[in-house]
Amino acid sequence: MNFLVLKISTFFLSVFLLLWIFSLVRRRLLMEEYSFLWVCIAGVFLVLSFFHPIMDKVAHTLGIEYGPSALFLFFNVVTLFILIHVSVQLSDYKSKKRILAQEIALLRDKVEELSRKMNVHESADL
Amino acid sequence: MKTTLIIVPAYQEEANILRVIEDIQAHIADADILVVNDGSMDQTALLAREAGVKVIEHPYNMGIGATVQTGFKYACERNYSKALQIDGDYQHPAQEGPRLLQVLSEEEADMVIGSRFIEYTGYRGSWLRRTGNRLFQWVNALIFGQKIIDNTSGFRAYSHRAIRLLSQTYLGEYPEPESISYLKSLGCKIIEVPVRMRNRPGGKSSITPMKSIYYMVRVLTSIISFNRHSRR
Repeated sequence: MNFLVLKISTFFLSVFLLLWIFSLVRRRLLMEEYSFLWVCIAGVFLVLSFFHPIMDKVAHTLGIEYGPSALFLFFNVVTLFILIHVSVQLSDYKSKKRILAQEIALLRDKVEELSRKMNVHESADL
Repeated sequence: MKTTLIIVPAYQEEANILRVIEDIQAHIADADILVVNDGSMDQTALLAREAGVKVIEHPYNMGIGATVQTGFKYACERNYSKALQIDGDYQHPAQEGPRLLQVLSEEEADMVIGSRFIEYTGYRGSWLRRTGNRLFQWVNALIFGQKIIDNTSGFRAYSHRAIRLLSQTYLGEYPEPESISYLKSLGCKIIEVPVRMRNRPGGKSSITPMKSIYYMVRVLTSIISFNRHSRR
């Protein structure tokens, strides 16, 4: 009975996750390149909700007594990797943002210098 | 065109910026002055412009590392052969500037650091600052075989080569100790010269005790990582 509840809830959870991701992609809130990862995760959830024994087998191979613990471990590790990946991307964006801001600062200075020069020429022409 | 650029990084320094500029103008004649305003919300940029120096403004606050780097980028674009960094908080006495630049030329160094600790110059700094410095000294000596006594001083003269290298590489929010490791790893020559510094007159240092520990861990991480692509 309990297993059935677990199966049904995992099933709905993964379907919900999938639909949510598709809707985010459709609304252009999530880029496809990132959606791939989340679709995979939802897929794993979906498969596991149907084929429960897989989890138990994997757990057993790893020497983990309780099947769901292996699942927790698996998702914790995946989350950790995702977080590191996101940090790397964040660093990349920050450094690109800094370069852009510096460029803007230097360009603004050039623009001001040029417009000053132009003003001088214009007033000389008059 | 003048060949030396004085880079003055400034953030919320309306209380000091004019004194800094006057100090520079009084002691260093043959140089252009560039104030890099790091997104200050006060009168820093306005006052500097009124004093007749070049001002470049960041659109938002980006930290000292990015601010000094903007100065290097400017110097690189305009082909200055030397740069001198004087902070906008009136801590660095401009009268010592010519000596740093002179040592830079005479010794053909890439960076000359105005050092507070090299001999007794009246400056002590906080306990944590001294401990931190000792730690950097030790790590840098271990990795690069040169003992740099004042790793955190921002009062520095740079050669064209150093300007070019530092304009291309962002050294994080605390660039002073990292630039030493970075330049050393590329085989640059670094010299320290004792200077007498003022204690900060207005405002307070950006580094509190809690931040110091955070600062040390971050800087050490980056010093060790730089060593990865070190020459020797």
